[in-house]
Amino acid sequence: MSKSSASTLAIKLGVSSWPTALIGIVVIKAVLSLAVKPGSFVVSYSGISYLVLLVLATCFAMRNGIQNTLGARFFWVLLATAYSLWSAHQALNLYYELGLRIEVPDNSIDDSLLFLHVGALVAAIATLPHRGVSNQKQNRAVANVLLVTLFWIFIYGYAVFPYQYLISSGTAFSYALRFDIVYLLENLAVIGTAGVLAFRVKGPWQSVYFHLLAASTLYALSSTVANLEIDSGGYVSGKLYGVGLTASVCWFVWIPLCARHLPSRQVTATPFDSHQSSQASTWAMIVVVMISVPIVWELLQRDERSDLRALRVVFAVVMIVCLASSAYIKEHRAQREHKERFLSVFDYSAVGMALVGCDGRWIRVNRALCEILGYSEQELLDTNFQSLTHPDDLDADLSYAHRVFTGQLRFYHLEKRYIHKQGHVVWVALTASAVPDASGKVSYGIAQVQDITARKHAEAAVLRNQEELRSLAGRLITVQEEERKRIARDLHDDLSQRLALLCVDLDMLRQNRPADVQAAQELERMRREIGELVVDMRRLSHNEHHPQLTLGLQHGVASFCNDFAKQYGIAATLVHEGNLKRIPETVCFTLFRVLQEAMSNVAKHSEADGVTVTLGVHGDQAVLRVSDDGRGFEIGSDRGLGLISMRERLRLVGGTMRVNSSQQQGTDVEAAVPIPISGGLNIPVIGKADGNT
Amino acid sequence: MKPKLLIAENHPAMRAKVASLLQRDFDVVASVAGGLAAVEAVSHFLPDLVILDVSMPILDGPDVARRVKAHGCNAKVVFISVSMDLNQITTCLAAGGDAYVSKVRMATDLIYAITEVLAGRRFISPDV
Repeated sequence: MSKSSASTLAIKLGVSSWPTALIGIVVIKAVLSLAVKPGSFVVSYSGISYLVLLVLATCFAMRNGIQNTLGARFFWVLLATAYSLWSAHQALNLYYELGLRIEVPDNSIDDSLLFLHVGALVAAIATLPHRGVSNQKQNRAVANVLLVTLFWIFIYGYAVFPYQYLISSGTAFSYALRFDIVYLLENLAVIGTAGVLAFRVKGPWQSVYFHLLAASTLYALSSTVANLEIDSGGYVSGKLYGVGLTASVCWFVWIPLCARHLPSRQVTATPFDSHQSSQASTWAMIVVVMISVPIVWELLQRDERSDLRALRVVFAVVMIVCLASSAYIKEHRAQREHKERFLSVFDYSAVGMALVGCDGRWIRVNRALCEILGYSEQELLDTNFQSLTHPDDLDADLSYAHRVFTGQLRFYHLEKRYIHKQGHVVWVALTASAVPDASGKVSYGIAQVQDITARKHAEAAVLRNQEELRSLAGRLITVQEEERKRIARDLHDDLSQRLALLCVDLDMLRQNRPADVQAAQELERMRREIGELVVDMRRLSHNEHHPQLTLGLQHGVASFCNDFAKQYGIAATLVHEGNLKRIPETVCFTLFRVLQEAMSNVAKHSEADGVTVTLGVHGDQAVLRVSDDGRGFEIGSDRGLGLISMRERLRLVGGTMRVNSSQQQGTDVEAAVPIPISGGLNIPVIGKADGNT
Repeated sequence: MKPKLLIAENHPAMRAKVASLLQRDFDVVASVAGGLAAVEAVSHFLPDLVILDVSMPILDGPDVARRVKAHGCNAKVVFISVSMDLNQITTCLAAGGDAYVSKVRMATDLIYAITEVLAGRRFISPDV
């Protein structure tokens, strides 16, 4: 057989050769139809190749079903069912035509199989395979399939079956014509559903639906023509319309094949998904109306045997009841699932959730909220949110809630405190939103409550630590200055006094013994040495603690600049800007030390003739600037200049330092320290995070 | 009659030395260790001249001078100090001082300074 050899070849060549093989079959069929005179060979070729193709299609669909291609096992199983019913029809046909060599009798099961296979095809599409799988959707798909199958069985049983078996032919509406009409309707249903889905669905399933649409359209056209031929008695297997049939069957074979090559990914939801329940009830209504139409039509049209009429009425009623109840069950179940899902999300959420009435009363609360607030569900339902809110947070919460309930605000976020049943404070992050009814009026709101007490405690602890660190740094500076002051006092108050006394004694000794010239000279030298010692000691003492600094930074700096100019012969100009009294004491000490360090650099390294010291308060900053006109240095070669220690000192009071210098361009050191606007030490007040800690 | 002097100096050895330097030529009515005691002693003894150490705890030299002058006392004031800081000298003279003597040069300068001041002139020790 050319068909099977072609398929074997195609299998060897791999799946990608399938389109070629299928097109080849269609071409052979077309050539045969045109070239060969109709006869038994063409009949047998057409019929047998038709059967082989259908069996092949069945196998492919089954394989897809087993391998769960594109995650739509149910669809493939139903498709395989449709194909196998079709194969059975074709096998029976061949048996009559080739085996018994007779026309297919009207009362054969053969036509019923053909009819049922299209029904199965509609049912397969009704599973809506593009939606992906989940158990609930599987149930819904089964319900859809049942609905569709029942419908087509009814149509067949009502409109065709009696004429096939119970009423003899020859009437105006013969069995064959009835079958053709109903069969065409059924095919149109396939085209309709596949068409709608093909244009509405995106992703891999779109191409499957398109293939289904094309194949079934081709089939519907060809089979209608063929059926009309058969009814008029002129049908010859192997005529040109047979090419259309063969081509459509090849196309049906191609559907399960092509699906294997499509990317299997999660398909995005289609607009179908959003109205599940309403869709089910619409379907049920359509089905009932469509069943009713032929009944009424039949009853008006026909004058038939009463037992037959009774049979048909009973059949119709049973079907309507079945369909309506299955539709009802489906819708009811969908609604219940929806509600249960919502309620389980509400009840088992780790976030505290509540429905709150306009008066603040809890309407429904979940267990997470009960745990956060420490009350049982019933206790909460007996009270309102106002009575559990921390009094300091109540006004803010109420004003927001009012705006939500009056529709001015859709939702709000708030960090607030509740009072736990055991009396302690619970910090929460609250998100509250309005739930308007159909008319837009807000009758209750949803509150989502997250316990953030631990976070708040941590934040407060961090703030406390920062504050402790700051005050520790401040104390470090003060203690260090106190210590230096003490050393300075010791040097000044005692040692330099005693040296001065020595000077006085030496002077007196010199005055009393003017005769001894050598001794007088020696005394004079000692006297000078001690005088210099006193000056050095005083300088040392001032370096430790400048006495003028106690009179204020301005005095200290002025005095320091005087001494500096005198000692090193470098002209020092002092400029002050702003209200220097605003500078806190710790900052004064720090800036003075920075000044000492910077001036010492000027004296040692700059070879400057003059230096300008600018001391100023600008806004919330105290700024000290030391600019010399010396030889400068390359930034980066400043390791040994004490800049690091200056920076460290400044860092303790939150200050920063900037150094600008380049060769022969002088050096500019600027220290800036933040100071409080109002004056005094900058100690922020930390709000207590929790009354309980 | 010798002019009446009062000495205020917180360092004991220095206080004794100043007293011994001046005892021969002047009538040292009192020598005290602190600023507050000095103010009290001045109002009690009404001296012609007060020798004030510049840096004393609680009330320093200039403070004492200001208070004394504020009370209407017209005793002359001579400051003594180890430091020859220009700012400090200016402060002391502004506070009502008539002379400023370096402690290192007391043997040569102090008696001369007192005589000058009592004669209505001013004196400041040359810098070392």
